[in-house]
Amino acid sequence: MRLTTLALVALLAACAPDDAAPPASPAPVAGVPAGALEVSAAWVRQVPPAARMTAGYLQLRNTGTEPAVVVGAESPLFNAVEIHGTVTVDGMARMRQQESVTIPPGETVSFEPGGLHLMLMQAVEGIPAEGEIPLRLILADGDRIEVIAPVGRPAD
Amino acid sequence: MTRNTFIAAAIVLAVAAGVAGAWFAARLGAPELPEQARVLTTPRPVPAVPATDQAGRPFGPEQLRGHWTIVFFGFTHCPDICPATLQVLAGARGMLEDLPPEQRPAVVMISVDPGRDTPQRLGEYVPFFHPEFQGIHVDAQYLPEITRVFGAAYAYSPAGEDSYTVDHTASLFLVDPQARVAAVFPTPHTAAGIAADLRRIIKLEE
Repeated sequence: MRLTTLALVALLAACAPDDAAPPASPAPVAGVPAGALEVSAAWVRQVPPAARMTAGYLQLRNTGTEPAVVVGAESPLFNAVEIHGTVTVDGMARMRQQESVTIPPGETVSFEPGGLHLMLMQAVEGIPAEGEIPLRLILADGDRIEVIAPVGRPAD
Repeated sequence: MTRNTFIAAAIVLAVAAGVAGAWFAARLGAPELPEQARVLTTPRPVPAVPATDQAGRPFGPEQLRGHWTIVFFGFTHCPDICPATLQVLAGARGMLEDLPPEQRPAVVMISVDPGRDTPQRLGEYVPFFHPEFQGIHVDAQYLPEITRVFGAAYAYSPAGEDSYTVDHTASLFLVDPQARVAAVFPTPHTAAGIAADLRRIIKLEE
């Protein structure tokens, strides 16, 4: 497990985001802290009405002494939410589902464009073009973290 | 003057001339080389294959001639890299508004998912990021040929039930006004980096 965690951290560190800029409308820290995991800078990408899916981004900081493991996410506005990671190798972008994301004690893991993201699919009533999207992170220990993510486009 | 003194004097003179030349070149605004983009030593002509833009009009070398074009290979069922890249390109395009119209680059996304990305669907997706951006639909059987000329790659991978995702080259390609692939912008991309390199490349070509 420890090795997996380290490998994952190494993988995350290797993901160079294409655009790590914060969203145009700064996301307030909207997470309700559960245990030792703090959520910040949450936002969901504004996409064309024709889009079938979008992506959610946030930062997770583990202020505790034990690793925190996120095993999933959900949203009342989407029937399917998965954790995905984009890895670009030799210029080729590959997106794959991730079973879990481990945040070691004292570390911050960023979900950001070109790297980890919450893939939001099967919108219940279309993907909102504005406003806020409620998200819920599911942790391995059963905890849930409620997050409010404003819809926006990254400032450039 | 001994032979050695003469050689030493000649070397000093040559170095001084070189430094002065470089200084004058810099003062005169000698073209800068791009910082991120890789300019191809031998530009590759874009082949004419059956393709249409989002309005269903033919798209090929004829439509690429006479202006610069940034080409991105992507698809609309792509939640992360493709919208992020289109957003960056919209930013870059905005930074180039001061250029004369004929020097402002066109931006096209060639779909690597022609089965799901109909021209109509591309038209509902790509211009969202910038009203002048266009989605291009290339028939599936000709996609290998056009991606090969660009040096791009794509592959289909299963993703969940009865669905799939597309791995694809995330680099950006610059097509010159002669409809040739002239430069490659490797990842990661920033709007400022793309805009600055594009200005440098246009200057080099002048």
